[in-house]
Amino acid sequence: MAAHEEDVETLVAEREYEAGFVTDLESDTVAPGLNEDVIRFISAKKSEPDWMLEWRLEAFRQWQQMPMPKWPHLHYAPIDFQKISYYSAPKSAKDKPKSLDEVDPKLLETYEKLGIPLREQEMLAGVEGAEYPSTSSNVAVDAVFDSVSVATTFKQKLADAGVIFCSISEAIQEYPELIRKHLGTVVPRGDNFFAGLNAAVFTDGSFVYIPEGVTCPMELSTYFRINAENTGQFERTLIVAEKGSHVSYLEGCTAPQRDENQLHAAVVELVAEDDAEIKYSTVQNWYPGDENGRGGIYNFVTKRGDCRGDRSKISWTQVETGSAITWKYPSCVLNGDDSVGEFYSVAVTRGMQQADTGTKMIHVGKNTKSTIIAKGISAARGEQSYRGLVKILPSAVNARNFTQCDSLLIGDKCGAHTFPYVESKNSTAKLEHEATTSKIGEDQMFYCQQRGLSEEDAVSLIVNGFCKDVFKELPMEFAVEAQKLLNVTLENAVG
Amino acid sequence: MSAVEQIEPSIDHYLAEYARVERDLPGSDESKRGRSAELARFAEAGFPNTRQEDWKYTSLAPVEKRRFELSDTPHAIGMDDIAAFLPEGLEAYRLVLVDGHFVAGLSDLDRLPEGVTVRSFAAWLNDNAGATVKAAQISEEPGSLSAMNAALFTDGAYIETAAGAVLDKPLHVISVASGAVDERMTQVRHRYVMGENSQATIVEHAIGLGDKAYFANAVTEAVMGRNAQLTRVRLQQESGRGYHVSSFFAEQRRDSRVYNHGVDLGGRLARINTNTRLVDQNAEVHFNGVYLPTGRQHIDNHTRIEHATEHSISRERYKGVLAGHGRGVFNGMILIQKDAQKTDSDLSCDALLLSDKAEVDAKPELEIYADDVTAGHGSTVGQLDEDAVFYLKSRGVDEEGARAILTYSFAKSLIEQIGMPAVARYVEAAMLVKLPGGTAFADLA
Repeated sequence: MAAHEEDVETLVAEREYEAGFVTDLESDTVAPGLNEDVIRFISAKKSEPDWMLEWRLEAFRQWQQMPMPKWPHLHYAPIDFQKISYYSAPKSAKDKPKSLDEVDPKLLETYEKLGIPLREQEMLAGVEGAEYPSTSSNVAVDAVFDSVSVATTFKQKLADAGVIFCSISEAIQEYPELIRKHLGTVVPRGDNFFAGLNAAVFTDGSFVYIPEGVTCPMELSTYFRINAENTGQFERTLIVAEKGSHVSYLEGCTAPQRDENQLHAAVVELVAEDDAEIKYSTVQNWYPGDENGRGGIYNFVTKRGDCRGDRSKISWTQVETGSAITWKYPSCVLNGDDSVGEFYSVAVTRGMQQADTGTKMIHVGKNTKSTIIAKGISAARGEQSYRGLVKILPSAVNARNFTQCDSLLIGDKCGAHTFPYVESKNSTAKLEHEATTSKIGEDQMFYCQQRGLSEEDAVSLIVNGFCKDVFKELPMEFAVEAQKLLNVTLENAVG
Repeated sequence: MSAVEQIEPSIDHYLAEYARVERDLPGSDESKRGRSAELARFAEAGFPNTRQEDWKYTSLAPVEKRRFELSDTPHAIGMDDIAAFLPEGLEAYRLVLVDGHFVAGLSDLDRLPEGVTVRSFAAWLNDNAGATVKAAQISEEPGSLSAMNAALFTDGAYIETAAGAVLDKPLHVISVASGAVDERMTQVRHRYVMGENSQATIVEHAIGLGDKAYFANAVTEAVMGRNAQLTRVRLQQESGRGYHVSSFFAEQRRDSRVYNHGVDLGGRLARINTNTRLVDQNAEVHFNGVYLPTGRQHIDNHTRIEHATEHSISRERYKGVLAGHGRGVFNGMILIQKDAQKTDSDLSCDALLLSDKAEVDAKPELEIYADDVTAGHGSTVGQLDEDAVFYLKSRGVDEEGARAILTYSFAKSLIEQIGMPAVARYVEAAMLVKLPGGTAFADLA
């Protein structure tokens, strides 16, 4: 069995980054550096109103007083924030293409290489209904290329339903009252170091508004890519679901191969009013760096949902396979009575990847429930930590939490760590936490192989089974993509 | 804090306190130099604060703001004063420390078996000029309060077992804080040196008398030789104004076994650090703990098990019952090093919240750097099952009694594992007194 293990390790380590290519686009990029002038430049470039600029500057002033967090279980060289360029827009975006036909063909070429089904989605629009349940086949795509949104489909159909789905820069122009009401209410400017930075320099992102009682007629999707050299990407997403509304939002990420580390510090804010439901799914596959840890994306993300209303529900599902460093804790603040928070995660670290990820569930309202399922797979020299907090405030009568975090280790040089915090201040709360760590059992492998499965299929079967609890929470498109991602890893694992 | 910054007044006090008592502290001049070095370490690090991850939930501010002093002599107390703390029917050797000083008159160390040394740590240190004491001989990062203890400790128990020696009866080590004078502290240090194939059972009992505020800061070190076995029961019954910090550091050689049972009932604030390093194959450790904060008590248990090499075993079970405004903290770290393949480790911590004002903060941690291991942990927080309460009531038990039965049963499995019926009975009785409705249950039983 030892030979098999080595094979798995070397091959997992050698897996090459599929999406490693660069699209040659003329970028309109600001020189590296960060000061108030850069923020004024970004704000002016986006023709933002004064209040927005003030908001950014205030965030920047707060950020300057904040230290970099040292507590994560991550090791990386200090980041020089003055060496990063904070604005990069593809030239062709200036003309604001109205349809996919007007989009730079090179951009579409990039998406095709990645297999992003943009055209396919458009085509699918015609066959809606009969064969597919409405939520699984229709996906509206707001594609973010570098920092500016360049293509938006399905806009009309969404508008008919009263749903607003646009870039956040557009929303600042078009719906200032909604932005002013909600921006920064879930993740305040001074929340943490990276959220502060994002608030100061965010260049684009998505804004979704679902009016009262509306079930969004399709799944919403955004693809992020980081393209221009030495540019950080600072996305800001805000989703507001009014009373009784429902929305499922998909986010997928992939980036071309680069040698220099790129910084990504996104903020996602979700607001769910009474009876509203938001499902937020992510597949993250940014460039993880080579096997020696050179290059790769630094991914420092603040994601938080506020279940503001009674009986509201926010569900996070994530599949994290990329990035050199992942620092991410999608959280739920369960303010409303009977509100529900969910977190499902699969994280894979291999090569020299490091991930410190998990969630926070803050129970404030009565009868609030939360579920956490986190699966970590660590291979080669990957380092992975689950860090979670379940906090029950005195007001959270009858709160309930279930947490399960399991780690799978492949190879003896990787690490898997678990740091779950449980804080309970209410005697009626019930909390359960369970964690296990193990490797793929030799007996399991033997059993599968003696039933005629190849080694590769056996590993694939076991790993997919390990992740099944999470994959079943993903929307169909993503479930397929996620399994594909995982299988690619395993394909190379056994030659 | 850097050296150039002004020393905190609280630290200054302990530097002065050391200067005051240095001449009278046990040990050779060389060991005094060791004490000074540890004092400097303490002064540099200062008291832990809640900004430190390890002290996130426990504030030592009430300790830091007071100016505790060492007692130069033990307060005169008699057997009657401690009789209530002697488990009925326990056949044991006894070593008693009062206000940090060994009191021969209260101790019973007659007819120890051959190969077993049990004596005052101070006396042992005075007889061994070359011996020095570090914050923790066997830990690299013992924390500033262990350094404080290494500088200021006045006495303790020194136990050495020769190869193959067996301590035939348990040893009851009692550390009494007399509470005769306000703002006194005890700095007690025990050392257990267990030879190959030797065995010992030690009950470390911290008790507080009176109603004066005091600070008890204790350190125990255990060096476990090959195939040695130590059962250590730590009973903590400080008085209501006692601030208790204690740390245990063990290092375990091949085939050695440590069974550690903690029972925390007393103290205004208690912080207990329980650590072991399994440095050789087939070493095995069991950490069990029961804690019962009621009223405004705060009890914090931090444990750390390091699997440094392959084929070692650890089991950890902690249970807390929290009532009144009681606050419980549990942090259990399992560290599995790179070479520690085939480690078998399991941890669980459960808490029962009986009151809306009680709070528990739990963090079971796993840090794993080896792949061929079995490691798991579980953690639960909840309350009594109303269905079970109803069931008992339908069988004729009153509400209070039903709750007491269920609460007691929750902790019972760990108390039974103590293995000494006399001690288990003693713990049971002490627990029931604290439980809401406990006396009703005692009547039932």
